[in-house]
Amino acid sequence: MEAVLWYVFIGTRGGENRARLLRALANRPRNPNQLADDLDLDYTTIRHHLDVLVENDVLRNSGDEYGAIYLPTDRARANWETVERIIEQVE
Amino acid sequence: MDVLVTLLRLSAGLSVVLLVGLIYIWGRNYLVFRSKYAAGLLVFAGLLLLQTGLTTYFYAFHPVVSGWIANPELVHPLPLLVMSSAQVLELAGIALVVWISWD
Repeated sequence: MEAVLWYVFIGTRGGENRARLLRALANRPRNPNQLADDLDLDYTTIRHHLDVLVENDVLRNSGDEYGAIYLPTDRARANWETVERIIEQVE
Repeated sequence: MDVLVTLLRLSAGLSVVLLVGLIYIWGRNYLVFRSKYAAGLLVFAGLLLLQTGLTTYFYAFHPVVSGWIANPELVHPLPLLVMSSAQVLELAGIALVVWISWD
């Protein structure tokens, strides 16, 4: 988990936005539309980053068909010290 | 022979281009995250850039050495085949890392 966790933020082009997104969701779970508004990012960009983070078991969605909200997985919570070190760095 | 020399030059040159892309990604992330992981990736890409850059220069552009490498009387086909293949494989490896990092 540790290796995946840091590479998906620190090794990749979209890492900075992914860290901002995760920080927003750690404070309060939201749906993609709210995230797009709150972070001032394109909806499709948000969707892409959410998909990457779900694929890598950092985020999960609440499962509701419409307006599903996203939140950190148990696995991300278990590594929360690492996560915090990463998300503290972004604006 | 000619094909092997061309492959060697092209794969080294393309590696240089891809490594510059990786250094751009990892350099930006280092500035944001200030992490030892990002710094390690940068050093790794920098050393590989040095190696592929020197290879490209000597084998494609150096006024004397680039002629030697293309001269079948001076270079045995076996080491040329091995060097070319290794350079192509290195390019494939770098391309894979670019692919996972461009996301």
